[in-house]
Amino acid sequence: MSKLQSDALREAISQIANDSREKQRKFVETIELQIGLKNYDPQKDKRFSGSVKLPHIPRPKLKVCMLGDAQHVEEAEKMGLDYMDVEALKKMNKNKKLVKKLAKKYHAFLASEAIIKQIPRLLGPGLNKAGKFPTLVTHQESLESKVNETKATVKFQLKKVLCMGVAVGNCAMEEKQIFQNVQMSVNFLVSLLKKNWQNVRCLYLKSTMGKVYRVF
Amino acid sequence: MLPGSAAPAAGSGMFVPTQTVGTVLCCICGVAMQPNPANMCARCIRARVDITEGVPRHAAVVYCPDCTSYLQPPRSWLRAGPESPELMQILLRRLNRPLARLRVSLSAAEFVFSEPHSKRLRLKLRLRREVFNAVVLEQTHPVEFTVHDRLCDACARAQSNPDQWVAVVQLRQHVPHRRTFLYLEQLLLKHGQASLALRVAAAPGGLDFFFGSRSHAARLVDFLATVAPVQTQTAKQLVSHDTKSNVYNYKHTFSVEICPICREDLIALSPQVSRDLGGLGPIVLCIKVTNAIALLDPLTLRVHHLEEKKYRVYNFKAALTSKQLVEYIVLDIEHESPEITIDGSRYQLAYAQVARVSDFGKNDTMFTVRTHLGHLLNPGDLALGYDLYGANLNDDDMDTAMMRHSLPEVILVKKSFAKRPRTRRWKLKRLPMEEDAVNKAKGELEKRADEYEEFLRDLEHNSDIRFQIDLYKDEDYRSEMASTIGDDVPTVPIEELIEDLSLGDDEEEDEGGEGNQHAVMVG
Repeated sequence: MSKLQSDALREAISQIANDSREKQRKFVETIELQIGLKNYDPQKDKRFSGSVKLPHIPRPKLKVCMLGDAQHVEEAEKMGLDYMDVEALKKMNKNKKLVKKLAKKYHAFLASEAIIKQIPRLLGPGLNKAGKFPTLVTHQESLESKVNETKATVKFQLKKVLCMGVAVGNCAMEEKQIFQNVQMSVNFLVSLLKKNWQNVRCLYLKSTMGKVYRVF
Repeated sequence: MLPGSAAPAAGSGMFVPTQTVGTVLCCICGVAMQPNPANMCARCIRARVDITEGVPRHAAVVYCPDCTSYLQPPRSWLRAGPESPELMQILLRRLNRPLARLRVSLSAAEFVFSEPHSKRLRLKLRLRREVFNAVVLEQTHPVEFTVHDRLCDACARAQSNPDQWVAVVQLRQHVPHRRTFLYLEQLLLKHGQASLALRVAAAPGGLDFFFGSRSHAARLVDFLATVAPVQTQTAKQLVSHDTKSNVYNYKHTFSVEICPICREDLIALSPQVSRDLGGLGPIVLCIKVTNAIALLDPLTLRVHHLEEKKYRVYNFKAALTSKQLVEYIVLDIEHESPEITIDGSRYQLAYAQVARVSDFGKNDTMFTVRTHLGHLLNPGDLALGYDLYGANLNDDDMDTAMMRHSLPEVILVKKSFAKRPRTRRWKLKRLPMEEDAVNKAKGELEKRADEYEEFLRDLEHNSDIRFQIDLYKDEDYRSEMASTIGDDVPTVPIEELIEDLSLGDDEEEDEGGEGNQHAVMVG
């Protein structure tokens, strides 16, 4: 099934954890999975994009912004979440610089059902170019669980280049949790590719300030 | 001795020259007269020469009492009132040949009164002919026409059998919509190809044109072969025949079948067809239908024109038609290549991120697809396309193509604009058509109205189609200034419209009469 060697992966994760423990940083380092592809022509082949929810939240300090209607704005206010309503979005007036700043300020966006229909017209392609198009939130589900789900989701999107990188964990997590996240990410990625494992050239694991460990 | 000569005055001193009026004696009766080449007086010439000799005094004319028209041989019937210029023309044309043979010219003609119910028409002619040398004689001559009653061809057909026809053109296209027939209807009206039809009837899957002559039907079939990829078959049925004089009466049937590929249809080519067309496809869009089909590969922008004969060899069907278009919202556009022009249409390859409009507010599914509409679409626009991701396809070639290749989830076809019920400043003419009872099912009329509205919207968006068709100004149109501010929906510019011909009051009555006659014939 999976061509990823469990022993090699565990060894890599263990070494990353040891390295981060030996040399302490003043912040929590992120562990990133870096992917190189082969046998893939960005010009001709079909591009893909997909999202998968990992079992453990890789980046708990992710900044999320709520673009909501009156009800969602009220809920976000109670939770201490940043929010914007329709008037604030209209004030941007499709200004590209303001939209870019907004995209840089937050890592992810949530949007109400009524708002998400207007976002392509209100904001233009800025959020989509940054890969941060808002995720839908309905009134039936809890906003807090949706925020956690958004933080746990990683997104794979192939553009014109043959390499990608996604955050799959951080150094504060247990090794078993990192292992599970990496496994799920890699399996999902392989399912998106046309020739599955034949399209994968190499997989690397790396923490923010640490060394690179090849796992495939 | 000489008459008229005067002796000079005896007493006057002025000399007056002698003036003599020359007179000669008639060689027949001896009276003094002016000299003329015949050397005879007028009375003697008229007594000796009868210039009306040989001119007919009786003639016949054929009259149709139903439509008050007279037969102009061999086949045409002209409508004329009593003692009208048209009737005078018809009667004189009957006499043209004898007058020409006798070298008699006509200087005047008038009607002599006869009673309204009389079967005689009387003319008084003033005939003129040259007799002897350079002597012109003029003489009146009465002619009496006998009126014979006979029904003309149209009235006879209407009385015997109103549905009598000689040839029928059965135009069919086996697709679930009727856009092709709406377009062909406009072409027929513009080129006047269906004006000779006795009647036009709507049939399941197409139209029936009934003609009174086989040549008229053949003319329509030839016209259809130039504007659409058609396949024609003919048949004839013997109605009656006269064994003694070798006369046969047939009914001719032309079966004209238009190929089932329409504009904006999505076609999955089989591997063999794809190989034969130089590697085109396997997914192609039909972008134009004339007497050839233009197929576009939306991923490589190659266009191939397929003629009717070659289409019959391959005989593929449309996997998805324009009824199955799904609306998408464009989130992002990345241009891949510069804008190019193929066959007068502009294309640009681009990667588009789209999401279904129906998905918005329900899930986060997005598609990244390659499209040929890069020059038209902007982020935030709506587009219509085929949803291969969610479509339930019933096409073997499409299944083959899906297994062999990684097909895109979406094929964008055209840009979509906001739908607003709106009055237009232009209108189209329609053919008078009979509806059969089968089509009067519930919901059928609304479906027809929807298709017609879709056809009008298509005309507004596509100027190529518009140039083939006559658009007319709508006199009842009132401008909606408020609603057109900021509107980017394409409309027809006003200089492309044609002023509709409107008849005056007198002609309107005549038009009404004409309509009544037509109703009589059809009923």
